[in-house]
Parts: sequence; structure tokens; C-alpha cells
Amino acid sequence: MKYEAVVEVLLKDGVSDPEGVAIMDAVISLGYGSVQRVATGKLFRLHLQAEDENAAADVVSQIAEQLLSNPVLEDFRVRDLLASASA
Amino acid sequence: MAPSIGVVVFPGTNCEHDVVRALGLLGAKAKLIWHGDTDLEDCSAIVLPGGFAHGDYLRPGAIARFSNVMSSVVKLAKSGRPVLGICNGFQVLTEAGLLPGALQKNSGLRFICSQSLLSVVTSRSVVTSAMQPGQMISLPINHFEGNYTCDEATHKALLDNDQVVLRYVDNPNGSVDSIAAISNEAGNVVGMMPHPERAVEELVGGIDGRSIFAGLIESAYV
Repeated sequence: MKYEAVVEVLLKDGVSDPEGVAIMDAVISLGYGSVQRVATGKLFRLHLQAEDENAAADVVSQIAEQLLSNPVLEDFRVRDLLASASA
Repeated sequence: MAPSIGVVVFPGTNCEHDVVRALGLLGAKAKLIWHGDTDLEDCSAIVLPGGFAHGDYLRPGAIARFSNVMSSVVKLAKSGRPVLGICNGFQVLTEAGLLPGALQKNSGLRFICSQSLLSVVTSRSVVTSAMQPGQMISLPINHFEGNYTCDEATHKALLDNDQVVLRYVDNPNGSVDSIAAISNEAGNVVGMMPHPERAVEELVGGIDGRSIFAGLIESAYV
């Protein structure tokens, strides 16, 4: 089966996020005073082949843990895992 | 005979020639090693210089860790040979698991390029063997991701095992415990954010970097 997975990587709380701070300042400049915080992160879309959804989820989690994120600074989440016709 | 020291070049490394020059100045035979090479047989020590290995894609050091040369660097490090990572080289060593913790973005949110006063914490590491704890040295720093971070257990282990090598006097980037350089438990693998290769001539603001390389070269003889 072909799958498409979306992995989200976000900085842990307390890790310095200058891009988030800069965007937050711009959001305030835009006039949206109700926004309290902006956090930046990364999003990865992986196309892969696997026996079934569980196998695909395992592979994606391993890649996210070993490469896409650094456990000292970041948390990851496999956000979507869908069977894909175009993978 | 002068020890032969390998200076690893990843695509995007940009401090390799300064390091080669500094090592040569102090009597070592330095040679550039392309990141695709794996033969480090005749290297008594290795330096991973600063720059932006593999464009810093994903995270600084995250891709460099998978370069062919790194398996040989890991082997050399485990055999007890000296390995020094400077700036981006420090980031590579943490990503490769040769040093604990990680370097996050500076707490002041700015890229910092300035002279930095440092205090030597231990003489146990391969680069500070000729220095005294408490000694002050001044080296340039030049980084955006130099804020050393680790969990409490790792920090305690660093202190218990005498692995903190240098501390900033005026912590410029928010590093845990003002840490500017650490070593592994054995003391032969060192990562430091300051650039000693940019402080080997009075003409460019000081020669305190010489003692770092002198220590490395001395330990490469053994």
C-alpha cells in the first residue's frame, strides 16, 4: 500500500524561538491584539510504501524520532497518515 | 614527528583553512579530509571546523552526522583519539551523539559576532591540558545557535564528571550554566562554540586560541 504521512515538529516549551517572536511582533503590528503567542515549527510530508497502516506508522515514527526531530529541543507528532493513490 | 591532524570539510564548512593554518603555525601537519572519505588511519586527531555543514538543513549538524566520514570519526573518538568540534563542529558532535545536549538558538534572538571572555573550568580535556582552571581567555564567537541546552540529569553528569571545559564570563547566548565548551566523559572529545582559529595572531585581536590548538596537538602525540 502507498501512504502519505504528515509529521509535525515543534520546539519544546522554553526552547528559544526567535522566528515565533518576530512573527508575534508582526501579528501585533497587523492589529491582532488578541494573539498571545506564535510558535514556529516544521512540517514534513512523507510518501512511502508499507504493508499496512501500522507498518507505515512505525516507519514514519522511527524517521521522525531519529532524524526529523532532536529530542533535546523538539517534540514530533505524526499528524496524518493516509492511504494515498498518488504516492 | 609532528602529529597529523585531519580537518573535516563538509559541503558548507567555511573555517577549515583557518584551522589548518592555526595548526600549522603551532607545528602540526594538518590536512583537509572531504566528508565522503572514510580513511582516517594516519590522523592522530580530528577537527570538525565551523561553518554551515550541509547548509544547516533540518538542524545544524543533523545531516552532517550521516556523512561517510562520521563513522570513522566516531571510531577514532571511541579509541580515545582527540576530536575537537568548533561551532558548527560542536553542533555536529551533539547530533552525532558524541557529546550530550544540544545547541538551540541564542536566547537574545540575535546572531552574535563578538569577542567573548571565557574561564577555563578544567584542565582534564584535550584542549585545556596546558591551562589552569580559573584561567581567563578571550576568543571570538560567531553563531546563531550557540545556546547550550541539556536536561538537569545531563547537566549534573557534566558537573560530576568534570566535563564542562569553558564557561562564558558574560553568558551572551543563554547557555545552561554559561557553558561554552564541554567534553565527553573521557575528555578526548571536545565541542566548543568559540573560534580559537580566529585568535592565533595579535594582528587580529589576540592569540589565546593558540593554547587550545597547542593542547590538542600535545594530546595527539600520545
